[in-house]
Amino acid sequence: MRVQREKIVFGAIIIAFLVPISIVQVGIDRDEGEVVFLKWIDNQQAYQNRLLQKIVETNDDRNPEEVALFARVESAGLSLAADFDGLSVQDKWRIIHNPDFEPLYERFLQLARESKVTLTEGLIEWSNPDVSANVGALVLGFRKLAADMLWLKFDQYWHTGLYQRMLPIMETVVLLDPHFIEAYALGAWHFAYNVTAVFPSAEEKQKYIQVGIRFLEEGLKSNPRSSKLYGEMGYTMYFRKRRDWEKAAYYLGEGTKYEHEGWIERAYALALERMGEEEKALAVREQFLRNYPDRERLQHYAIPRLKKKLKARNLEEDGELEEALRIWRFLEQDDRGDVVAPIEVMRLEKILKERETAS
Amino acid sequence: MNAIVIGLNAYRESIRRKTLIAFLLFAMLVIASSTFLTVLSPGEEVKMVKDVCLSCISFFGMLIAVFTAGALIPGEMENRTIHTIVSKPMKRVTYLIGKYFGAQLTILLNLALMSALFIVILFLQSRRYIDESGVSVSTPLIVIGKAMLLVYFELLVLSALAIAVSTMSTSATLPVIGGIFIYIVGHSVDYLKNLSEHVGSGLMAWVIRQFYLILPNFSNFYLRNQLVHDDPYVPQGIARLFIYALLYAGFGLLIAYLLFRKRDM
Repeated sequence: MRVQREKIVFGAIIIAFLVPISIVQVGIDRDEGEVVFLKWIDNQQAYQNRLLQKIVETNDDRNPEEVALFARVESAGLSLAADFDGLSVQDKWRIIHNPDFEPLYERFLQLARESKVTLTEGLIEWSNPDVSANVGALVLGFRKLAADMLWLKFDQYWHTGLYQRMLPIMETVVLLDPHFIEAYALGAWHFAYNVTAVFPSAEEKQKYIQVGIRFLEEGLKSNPRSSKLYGEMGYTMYFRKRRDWEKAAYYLGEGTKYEHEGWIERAYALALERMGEEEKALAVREQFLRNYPDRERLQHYAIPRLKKKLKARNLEEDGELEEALRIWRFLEQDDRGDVVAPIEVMRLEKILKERETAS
Repeated sequence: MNAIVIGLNAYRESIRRKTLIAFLLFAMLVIASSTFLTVLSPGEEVKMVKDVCLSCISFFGMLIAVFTAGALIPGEMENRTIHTIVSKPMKRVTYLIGKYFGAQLTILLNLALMSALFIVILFLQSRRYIDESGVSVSTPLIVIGKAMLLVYFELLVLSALAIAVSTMSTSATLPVIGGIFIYIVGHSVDYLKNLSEHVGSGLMAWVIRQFYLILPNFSNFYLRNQLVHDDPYVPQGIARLFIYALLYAGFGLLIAYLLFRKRDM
């Protein structure tokens, strides 16, 4: 009888431990889920922004249920904070703990389980149980170390010219460690420069540049607040390789929203200048000077030129085309690398010629 | 009081063991040599140091925890010194808690030494590879401290479970193998979570989910990697993980007591 009672008591004590353990585990899972939810919100906002600015090349291919959920999230967020889109992670974290978000989070989980959530890193945790979800378990929590070791292999393949092996390695590296920023950045850079250099045809080159862009897009999905990835996408891919100033300016501008290195601001100003947005470019450069007063030399040449360009634009608006042309000609002569000045010179010359013919 | 005396004695005994000293030295060697790996990974030097050091601390911490906690009781059984202790008017639970306390002191000492070297190496590497804009001079000590706490929480649970296994054994081999097995299982529990979400039958999903919830889940403590790498998307605070570790350590000790209380010596 005594043994029986003892068994019951110990059984009860074991359950008394297991129940709170389960409850805490549910809480930990919720924390993790909310992190994914938060990242999804950031990605949705960024994607929405790209759609509005026509940066996304294809049509909106998101699941309609996902789009509807995001609309509800946005309206709930905006009702709680007017600047919901621009909030820091900590502030957003606080907002999504509001009871209004509870049904939205539950809906998000439901969509994630049905693999209807596209814009999140959750590919690893939610929708692909057979392959990637278990990679972490296979390496017993040493995911980052395994990714680093593979990254060294990637470097070795590059130096031995085994380019065809680089892509699978790179994909495995970021599968193991989706926050390995340098893997995305350097991997895309390899595609943009080194791999394209091997192929003589323009088509092949563009194909590999596109691979680099896709790779960076994946990186941004997992790290929506990484200024480095925005910078690489904007400068390496769109500014240097695609010469698409608008997209370059968009990505570089996004990069400046988060903690970033100085070169991103300079590249952003350059992209704006190429777009013909001298006023904005000047504001960025002046802000750069305020942020980094020790780097005045870098702006010593660029700022006066921008001011001249602005002056030329203003003169053109006032109808003083000859004077504007004179400034653009000076700018063309002054810096042969300037791609805007020759275009402006040609444009103004054409307008003046047409006027002359008309009169 | 008795538990503290037993704990201090267990600690003194543990730190004299050659196996543990070898593990510690080897870990220190790997941490120190992480500096050389940076040469092979331009642009990611500091990341490489963080990853290698943190993984090394986790791995050797696991070995130290398993070998310390798993060998304390079987060691006394082998030497027959346990008979002189349990024959005294002292509860067995006191003896167990004392041994666990001693194991924790040993683990903490080893962890502190490895962490100190990690911080020094990280500081030197951060200073060496600091970029021109001055972003992130070095990872703040508080972040490393938090990450180390998470490593310790994992070891707290693991050592409790290893002690539970050791109460059934007369040699240290079984607890060590058992401890390593628990470590592997603890890192694979996420399989069950995925399985429960994708399995067809509702009942089966419920059963699998209950197993997932009650088995030790060491991937909870993976957050340390995100903390060290300044990932902005991390859950706020580690209090929940601390509660989890304490509860599981308590559960491990309870199992140990149940197995040990009526064991014939």
